Amino acid sequence: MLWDFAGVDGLAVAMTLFGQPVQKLAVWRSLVTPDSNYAILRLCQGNFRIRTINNDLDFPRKLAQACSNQRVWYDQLTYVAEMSCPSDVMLHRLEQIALPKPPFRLQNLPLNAALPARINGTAMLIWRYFWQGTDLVQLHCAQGDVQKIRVCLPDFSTMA
Amino acid sequence: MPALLIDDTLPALWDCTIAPRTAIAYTVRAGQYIQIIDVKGQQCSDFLAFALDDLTEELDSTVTRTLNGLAVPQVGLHGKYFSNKFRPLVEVIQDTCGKHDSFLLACTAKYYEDAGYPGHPSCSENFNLVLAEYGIAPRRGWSAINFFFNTAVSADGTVSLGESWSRAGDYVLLQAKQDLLCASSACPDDIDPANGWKPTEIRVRIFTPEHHFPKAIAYRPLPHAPAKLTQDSAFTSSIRQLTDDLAEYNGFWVPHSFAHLGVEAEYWALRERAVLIDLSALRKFDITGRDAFDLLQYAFSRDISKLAVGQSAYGCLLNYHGGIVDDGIVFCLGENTYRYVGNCERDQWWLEKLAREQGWQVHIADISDRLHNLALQGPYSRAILEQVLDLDPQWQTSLPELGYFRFATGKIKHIPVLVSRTGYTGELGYELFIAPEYGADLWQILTAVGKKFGLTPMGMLALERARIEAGLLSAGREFDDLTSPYEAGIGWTVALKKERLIAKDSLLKLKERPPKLTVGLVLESNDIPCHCQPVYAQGEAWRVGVITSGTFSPYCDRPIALAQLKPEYAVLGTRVEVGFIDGKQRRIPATVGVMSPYDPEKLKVRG
Repeated sequence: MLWDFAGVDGLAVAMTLFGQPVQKLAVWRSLVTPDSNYAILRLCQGNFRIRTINNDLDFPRKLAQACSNQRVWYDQLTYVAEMSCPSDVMLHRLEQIALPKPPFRLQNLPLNAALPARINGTAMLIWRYFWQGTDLVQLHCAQGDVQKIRVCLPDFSTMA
Repeated sequence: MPALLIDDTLPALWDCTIAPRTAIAYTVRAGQYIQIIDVKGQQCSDFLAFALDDLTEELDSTVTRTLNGLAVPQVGLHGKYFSNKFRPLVEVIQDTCGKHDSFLLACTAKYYEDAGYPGHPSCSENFNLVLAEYGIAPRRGWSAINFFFNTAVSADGTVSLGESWSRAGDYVLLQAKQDLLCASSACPDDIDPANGWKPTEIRVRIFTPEHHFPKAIAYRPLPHAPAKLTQDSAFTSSIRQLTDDLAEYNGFWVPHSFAHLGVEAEYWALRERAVLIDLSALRKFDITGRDAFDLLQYAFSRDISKLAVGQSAYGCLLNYHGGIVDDGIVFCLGENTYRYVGNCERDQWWLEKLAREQGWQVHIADISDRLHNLALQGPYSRAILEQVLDLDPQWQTSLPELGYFRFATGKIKHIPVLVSRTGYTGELGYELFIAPEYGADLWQILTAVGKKFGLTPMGMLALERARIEAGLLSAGREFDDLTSPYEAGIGWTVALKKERLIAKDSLLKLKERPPKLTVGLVLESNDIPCHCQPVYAQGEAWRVGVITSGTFSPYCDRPIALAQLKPEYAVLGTRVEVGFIDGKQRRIPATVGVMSPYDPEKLKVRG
C-alpha cells in the first residue's frame, strides 16, 4: 500500500515516524526500515511516499497521529497506480525505452533511487528498492495509463 | 576556452541580412543552428517558430516559461523553447547578450496607433506579410520571443522597457530540435528606447549540424572588455560523466548536484566522510615586483606583514569608501611574491589602478587559466590525501603538520600540486591547485583512492548549504561593493593598525557605528527563509533587517539563515520575526545567534 504526505512539516512527520535516518535522505532517494515494513521515498523537501506491507493495519493511525497539528496533508492517492517487477528483468528494458526527465539518469540506477520519466509520452515515476527479499523496480503511473504501460512492459504486475 | 562565433570564416549554409523595419521567414532542418546577430547593437529581433510538418504547432512563450521555471530560457539544462504541444522547437546554445523578452507581443500596429503613429510598420504586421505565403493567417499581434528586447517586471507588476543591452555583434545561437518554419524581424520601433530610437539591420546565419557548437554564455569582466564564453574547467569532463545538472557560474560550467546522489547525500558525505568540489571558477593572480607587499598591504584588509612564506590569510579587497570589492585569500610565496585567489577578474584591474595611483612597481598576472583547483573537504580528507601526496622536502613539513591557512607544494603521483589547508565548507579540508592538463588524472586518482573512505563528488547546492551553516560569506548575498567588512560579518579581517590601508578613515567610522551587522538566525518552524525576506522586531510592523542567505540545516535540524540586522537587534539571544508569504501573514520567530552554528569555534577546520 502507498501513502503520501506533504507540507512544510513533512520532514518532521517523517522523522517522527521513521527516526533520524530520514533526515539524511536526499530528494528522489529512498530507504527501507530495518524491519523491512516500510519503504520511504522522499519526493521533495517536505514530500514523502511510503510503501507499507499490506497487512499493516496500524499505519494509518500512526500516520494520522504524527500529522496532527502539523502543516501537512496525508492521503492514499487513488489516482496513482503502482506496478512492480524484479529489477533484473526490467531495468535494462526500461533503460532502452524510458526517457528520464533531465537531468535524471536511468542508466546504473542504484537501489533506493527514483526518477520521473516517460514512455511514449506516458508519465511515470520509476523507483528501485529492495522489498521483501526482492530487488524491485516499481512504476507509479496514473490509473488511466495502466493499460498503455502494460502494452509496453507486459512483465509488470499491478499491485494496487 | 570556446571561441565566439563572430567571424565570417566559418561557412554558413545560409546568410541573410534583414533590412531595418522588415521581417523574413525561412526554414531550417532539425539539428541545424540559427544564429541571430545584432549587427550594430541595441536592435531587437522578434522570433517565431512553427513545426514544419504541422504549422498549428508553434513556439509558445507561456509554455516555455512554465516548463523551464524561467522568464527566458538560459543556456544549459533549461535552454529549450517549447511549442503549444509541449515539444521543444529550438534550444539556445550560445547567448552573448543575456537580456531578452518573452512576455510581450511582437510590436503591433495598435501600439503605434495608440502612441499617435498610425500606419507605422510593426513586427506583427511584417510577420503577417512574410507568413502569408505559407498559408498562415494574419494576427493583430504575434506572441514572439523578442531577442535583445530589454523588459523587466517590477514588484508592483509594471512591465517596463529600456534600451537593449546588446552590443554590436552580440548574438543568440539556437539549434532546431525539429524541422521548422521560422520568422525573424529587425524591429521597426523608433518611438521608444527599445532599439535606441534607431532601427538597424539583423543578420541571420544557418549552420549545419556538423559544427557542434559548445553551449556557452558570454560575460564581460569589465564594461569594455571583450566578451568571453563559458568554459569547462580541468575537471568538467570527469564531472559530466556523473551529472547532467550543470549551470554557468562565474564563467565556468559547474555541477549543481550529482545523479543518484542529491543535495542531502552530498552534504552528509561532506560532514561524515569526504567530498570533491570543483572550485576552478575562482580567479588567481600572481602579484610580484618591488612594491607587491605595499600594494597588498594597502588594498587587502589583512596585515600581510605577518605572513611567512607558506602562509595565507583570508580577507577582502576594499574600495575607496570601505566597500568590499571581493573576498579572497592572499598566499605568501616569497618576498614581494604573492598570489591572490578571489572571485572576480576585475580584481586585477582594481589592483593595477591602485598601484598606478600610488606609483608602485607591481606586476599582476592573471594565472586563472593556468591553475585550476579542486577542494577535497571532510573529516577523511587528510587520510585520503596522505595516501597519494608527497610534499616537496623544502617545506620541511608533513601533511598532518600542515596547519590551517598554510600551504606547500608537492606531487600527487606525477602531478605537481600546490596544497592549501583552506576551504569553504567548515570542515577539515584542502584545496589542490594544479595545471589544467592534469585535471582528469587528479580526479581519477582521488576518486580511486577515496573510494574506501566513501569519497563522493559534491555540487554547488550542497556547498551552499554547508557554507551557510559555517557562516561563510557569498558575494552578492552577504556583501557587495556597498557593504563594508563590518557589516558583512568579517570586521575581524580589517587590520586598522596598519600604517596604510585604503579607506582607513571610512572604516574607522564604520567600525564605530556600522549601519547593519551580519548574524545567524535559527528559526522556530520548518519554513525555509530565502534571500531578501524581511526580518521584523518582535510584534512590530517595521523591519530591522533582511535575510541574506537561508537554508535547512541538517546539522541543526532547523531552518537557519544569515541575516543583516540593525545593530540594536544584532545581539546574541535577541528574538526577532522572519516574514513569510507577504511578510505579514506568517511571522516565524527566530533567535539571533552566531554566524556559524556549525562548529562555531572552528575546531574542525583547525583540527
